[in-house]
Amino acid sequence: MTTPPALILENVRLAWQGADAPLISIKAQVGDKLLVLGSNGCGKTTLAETICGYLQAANGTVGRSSRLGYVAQQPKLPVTISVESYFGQLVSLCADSVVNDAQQCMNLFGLTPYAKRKIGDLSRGWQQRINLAQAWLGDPRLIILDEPQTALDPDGMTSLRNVIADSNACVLIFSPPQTGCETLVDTHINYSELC
Amino acid sequence: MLNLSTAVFRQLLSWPMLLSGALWLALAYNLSFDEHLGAASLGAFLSYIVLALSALILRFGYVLQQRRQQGWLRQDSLRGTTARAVISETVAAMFALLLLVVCSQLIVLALSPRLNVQSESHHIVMSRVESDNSWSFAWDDNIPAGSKLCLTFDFENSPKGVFESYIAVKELSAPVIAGEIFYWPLSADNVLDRTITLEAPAEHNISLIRPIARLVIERPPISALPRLLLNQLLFFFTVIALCLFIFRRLKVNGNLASMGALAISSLTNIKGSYLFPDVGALVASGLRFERTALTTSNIALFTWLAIGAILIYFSCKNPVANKK
Repeated sequence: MTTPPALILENVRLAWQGADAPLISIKAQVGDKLLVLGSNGCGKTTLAETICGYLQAANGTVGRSSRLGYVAQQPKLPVTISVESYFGQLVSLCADSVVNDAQQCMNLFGLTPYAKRKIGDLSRGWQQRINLAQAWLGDPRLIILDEPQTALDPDGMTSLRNVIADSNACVLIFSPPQTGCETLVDTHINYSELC
Repeated sequence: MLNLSTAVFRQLLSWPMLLSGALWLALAYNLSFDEHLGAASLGAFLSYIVLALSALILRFGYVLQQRRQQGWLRQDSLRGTTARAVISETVAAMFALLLLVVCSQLIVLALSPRLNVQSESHHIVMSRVESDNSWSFAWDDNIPAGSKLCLTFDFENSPKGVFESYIAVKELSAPVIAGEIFYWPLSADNVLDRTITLEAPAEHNISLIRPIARLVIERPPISALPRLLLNQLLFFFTVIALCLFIFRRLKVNGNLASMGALAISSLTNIKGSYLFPDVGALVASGLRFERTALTTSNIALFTWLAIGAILIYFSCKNPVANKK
C-alpha cells in the first residue's frame, strides 16, 4: 500500500493572478523537507494560504493532508493569556485521536520556562517561538512555514533546524533568499521552478 | 471542549465585567422596586435585565472579533474542528447569560421586594359601535388567558324602572346593573381571535361609555419571575446563534454581527410580520409588560429555537476560503 502524498498541487493558479499566469504544481511526500525561495511579492504567502485553505485557488487542484501545521508570516496570538493556557486551548481544538502533549511542543522551542507568562509580555522572538511550536501540535503530516526565521535569534534558528530535522512530517518553508533559511533544510528551489 | 468554553467564558466575563454586572443588578433592583424610585413592577425589573442581556450580546460580538484578531478562527479552520469552537462559544455565551439571569432571580428571591399592590392593570381597548345595542372590541397583542373586559354602561335612556339588563355573546350572558362596573371574562377563543362583540337586549336601550372601556389583565406574580427570565434566556439563544452565523458565515466584523443580530431579532416585535415566529413576548418588559408576558405559543417558541439550532449548524461548517 502506498502512502498518499502530504501535498499535491496540480495546475493551481493563485486567486489574484491573471489568466495568463503560470500554473503551479507541487507534489511532496511525508518526510520531504523543502525550501521555496522567492522575492517579495512573488506570491509565497498567497500560495501558503491557498495550501492551508484560507484562500481559494482560481483554478487547479489543491490536495493536502488534513493534519496540517501552519506558521503564519504575521503571527496572530492572544496576548492576554499565558503560553500554557494558549497551548491548552489549542489542544482542545485538535482532533482527539492526534493530540500530543502540549508540553512536548513547548519544549521543542524552549518555551517551558515561560509557560506561566502572558504572551503579550514576551519579546517578539519568543512570540515567534510560540508561533512555531503551535504548528507541531496535533502530530501534523504537513507543516507550512512562512518566513519562520522572522525575529529568531541564532539559538532559535538552531532549535528550528533541529526540530525540522527530527520531524517526520513534510515541511515546506517559504522565504526570500539569503535570510538564513537556507541552513534549515537541504533542498532549495526557486518559486519560479514551481511553475 | 470544557477548556475552550471556559476560556471564552473568561474572556466574555472578565472581572471588570462581572463587577459591572453586579452593580447593574443592584441598580436595576433599586430602580425597579425601591419605594420612592421604582414602579414596584416586575416589568420594570425585566427591562433592566433585557438591557444587561443585550449588553452581553454586544460584548460577545466584541469577544468574537477579538478572537478573530487573535487567530482562533484560523486555528479552527486549520485543524478542521470548527464545530468545537462554535459550540464552545455558544455554551460560553449561554452560560454567561444564565449567570446573569440566575443572579437576578436570586437577588429578587433573597430580598423579596414588595410589588405594586394593585393586582390588575387596566389597558385601553379599541371599541366600535356595531349597532345601537352591540359593540365590538379589538386588541393587537396576544393577551394572556384570563383577561377581562371592564365596561361601564349608561342606563339613562332606558325605559323607566329598568336598572338591570344583561350582555350576551352567543349563548353566554351576564347581568349588568346600573351604576356598577361590568366585567366580561374573555374565553380562550376570544383571546386568540383578538376581538369580541357584545350585545345587549334592544328593548333595554343601554349604551356603552366607550372612553372608559378597558381591558383588565392580571399582573404576573413574583413567582412567575423564573419563567419570565427563562423566556428571555431562550430568546437570546437564537440571538447568539444569529450573531455567530453573521460573524462566521457572512464574515462580518464581530461588533457589527452582534448589533445586526440584536437588530434582526428585534423584528420579532413587529406586529403582523411573518418573517419570524411571534416571540417578541419572550422579552416583554416595561411597565405594561403584563399585556404580552407569558403569551408566546409553544409552536412559536420551538420554531424560534429551531431557527437558532439551524444557524448554529451552519456556523459549525468550515468557512469557505476567501477570494483574494
